[in-house]
Amino acid sequence: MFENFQNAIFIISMAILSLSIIAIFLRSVIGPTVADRIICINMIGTKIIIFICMVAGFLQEDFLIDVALVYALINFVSIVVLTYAYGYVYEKRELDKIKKKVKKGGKN
Amino acid sequence: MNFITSASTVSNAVNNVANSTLVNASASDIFTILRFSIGTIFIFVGLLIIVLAIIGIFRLNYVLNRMHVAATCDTLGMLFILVGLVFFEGISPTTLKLVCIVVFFWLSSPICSHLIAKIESRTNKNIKNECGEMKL
Repeated sequence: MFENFQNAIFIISMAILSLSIIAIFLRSVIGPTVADRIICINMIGTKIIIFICMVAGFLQEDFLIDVALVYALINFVSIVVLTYAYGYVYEKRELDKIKKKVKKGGKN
Repeated sequence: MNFITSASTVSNAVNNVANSTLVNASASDIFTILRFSIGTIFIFVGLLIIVLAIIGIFRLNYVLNRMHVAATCDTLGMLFILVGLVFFEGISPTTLKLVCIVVFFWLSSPICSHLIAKIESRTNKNIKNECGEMKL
């Protein structure tokens, strides 16, 4: 009896988690700033870690928890890379704007 | 093949819960009942926290407020759900890995929040309207 109760709990929580992932994805499409979207990527990664652990409990397979641990590491590294990359691109764009202004001012 | 078998187990599980017949009677003494009930409570509290966080993300005004809600509710929700899973499965080397996931996530989540706030303060030109700046 407890085997099927356990499966029911896992199915309910997996359904709620997947609906929440869709809602967060909507937020990342709406959100006006870049930081909004990076927050949503972080949250989706967290939810997927929980989801993989639930699948590991549902199917009674032990190796999926290692997959979840690797995904946690990848999520962290991806956030660091995204913020550094966007900061670099933004600074470069600002520098190009300043250079254009100086060129126009020099010609006139 | 694996997808078909997992789908059939899902339908079997739902049918058995609906009919409530003792098909596979495991040892149902007081300890397993306590373990499963505590695990269920933890998992549902964690899911509630995550749903509240999603409501908060849609309703709040400024990016940094949303970031605060996301970071705190994610860490707390993950702790509750994974500790609930530890109670479900019983303590073993496999479930100690879930504790490792929680520890690593608690160490790395503040770093991500700090970097997101940093990039928001660098790229937003009208940040003085939203929040005050510290003069160091």
